[in-house]
Amino acid sequence: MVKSVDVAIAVLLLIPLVALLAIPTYNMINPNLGGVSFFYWYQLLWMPLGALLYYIAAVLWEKKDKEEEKAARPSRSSKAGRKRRR
Amino acid sequence: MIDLLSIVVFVALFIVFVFLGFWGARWRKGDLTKLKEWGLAGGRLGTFLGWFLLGADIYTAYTFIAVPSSLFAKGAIYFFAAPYVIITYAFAMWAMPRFWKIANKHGYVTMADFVRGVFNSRLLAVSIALVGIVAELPYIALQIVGMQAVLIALLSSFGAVNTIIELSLIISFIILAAFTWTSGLRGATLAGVLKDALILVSIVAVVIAVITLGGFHTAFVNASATSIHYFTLPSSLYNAYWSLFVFSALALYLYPHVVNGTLAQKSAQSVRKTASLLPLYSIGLGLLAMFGFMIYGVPAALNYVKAFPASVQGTQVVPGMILTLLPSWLSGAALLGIFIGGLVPAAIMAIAAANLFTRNIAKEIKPHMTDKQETKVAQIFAVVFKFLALGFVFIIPATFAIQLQLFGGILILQVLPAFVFGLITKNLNRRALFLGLLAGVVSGVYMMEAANSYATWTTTLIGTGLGAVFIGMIALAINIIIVFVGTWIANAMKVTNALPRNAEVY
Repeated sequence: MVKSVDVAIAVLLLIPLVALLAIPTYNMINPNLGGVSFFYWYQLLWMPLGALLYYIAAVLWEKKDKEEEKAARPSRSSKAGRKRRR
Repeated sequence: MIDLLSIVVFVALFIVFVFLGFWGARWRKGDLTKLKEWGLAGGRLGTFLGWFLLGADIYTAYTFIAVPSSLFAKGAIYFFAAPYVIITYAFAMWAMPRFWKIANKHGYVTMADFVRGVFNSRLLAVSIALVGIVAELPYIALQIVGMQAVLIALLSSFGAVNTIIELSLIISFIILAAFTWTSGLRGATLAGVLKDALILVSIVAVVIAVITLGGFHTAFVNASATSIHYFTLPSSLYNAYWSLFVFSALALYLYPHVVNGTLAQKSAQSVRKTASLLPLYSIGLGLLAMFGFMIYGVPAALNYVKAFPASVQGTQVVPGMILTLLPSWLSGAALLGIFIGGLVPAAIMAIAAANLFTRNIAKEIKPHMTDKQETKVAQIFAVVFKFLALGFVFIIPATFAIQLQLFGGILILQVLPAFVFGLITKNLNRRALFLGLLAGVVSGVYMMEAANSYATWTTTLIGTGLGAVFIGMIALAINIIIVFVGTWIANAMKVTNALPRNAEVY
């Protein structure tokens, strides 16, 4: 079963890849930034943007893992569960 | 500017660095005679220090010397390093927490341990360990080239260039060997913090200096006048560009030292968070890479670089910019940052290779070693591997040092099927995986030789029907095809991996 959070994570991780694979869309000199061609500053821009998207994905993922752990816990033997709580 | 003050600052900061390295040995004290302590820092690093440790793996001589050097020599194609150090973290965020959990559960310390557990094959585990070790050697060699470049810059005004080049190499090597022996991964992490602070300040200072000089416009005009494509990519190199960055991205987290850095962290979540924030680190790499054309805006730096023989010219791009644009005390500090930027990663890589050798090869031969003996073996081989790495320094002209890392990438990519597919399924045939690995490595080395006409290595691209592409991609494709066809044949013949029934693999 595919959950919407899984889709969100996958999309967040794939956006930078797609943006960078589309080489012809950024392989140009203009708009240049003070003498630096678009080719360079576009890719530089994806570093902070990428970190942002990836970090959001990491936070979503952590939440998801915690929920899954919670859901898995009661199904284990009740003894083990009680032991851990102590 | 370079003068006595630069050298004094360089030496003073180096002493601080050595102190940090030794202090690191005591910091959060663990028993350093145990391999896990020496080699994995005890496995207690959180998101913050994990970030620095892994950052140290990326912020290496590759970043400071090799990428700017090749961009200077060959143009925009070598900016592939920028997208590479973005998307590699998406791959890491998926694969590495998964790997961390499995490794933690079963007590695996290396990738070879994991592969052995999933596919029940000693042969495959030993081969993977071997490929991992050999792939580290050219990467270590690249760090030595970087350290050498700094010493050349520091000493070049004091004597004949060729003598200085050779002397620099010997000094770099001795310092590296001594440092690794004494402090293990702990010292390296602490020293990484100092290194990054120095580098960051210098990059910012250089970029500001170039902007205030109006250097970018001058650079644009002057660099456009050369025959090298600096500002955009020729369309014939599109396939080269994406194959270089995609397959470098897949390779990074397969290196033993990066696997080590991952396992040194305290939880799967911190592995993922660390990775997600690492693209911020890459901004420095991007800016440094651009020094390769920015130098055309700083005539003094360009003259400095052109005074060297062509074989080392490229490696002097970043030192040249620093020396001509920064005051002498800051030049000394910046050069030290770059110097330990080669030293620390080289130590981390040698430690990882030695770890792998001890765990997965020496133990196969001599299974009953005490903890102390294990650590001794690892320490000795960390030195041995550095000597072997030195051999690679002579295969490639320093200006093309990036090919060392790319060649390492071609090799290490061949462990991808066993590792990455192994995270998802145990249903691949172990012999097919071994044959795929073998074919990938052999074809990779062969293509490397063929692409360079059996002479010194200056490229890792090979001409195909799609234009030039990265050899690593083709070798990996051959590998994967063999793995799948081999598994299909094995299934048809009902040959299995003979995993014990009910074995808990994951």
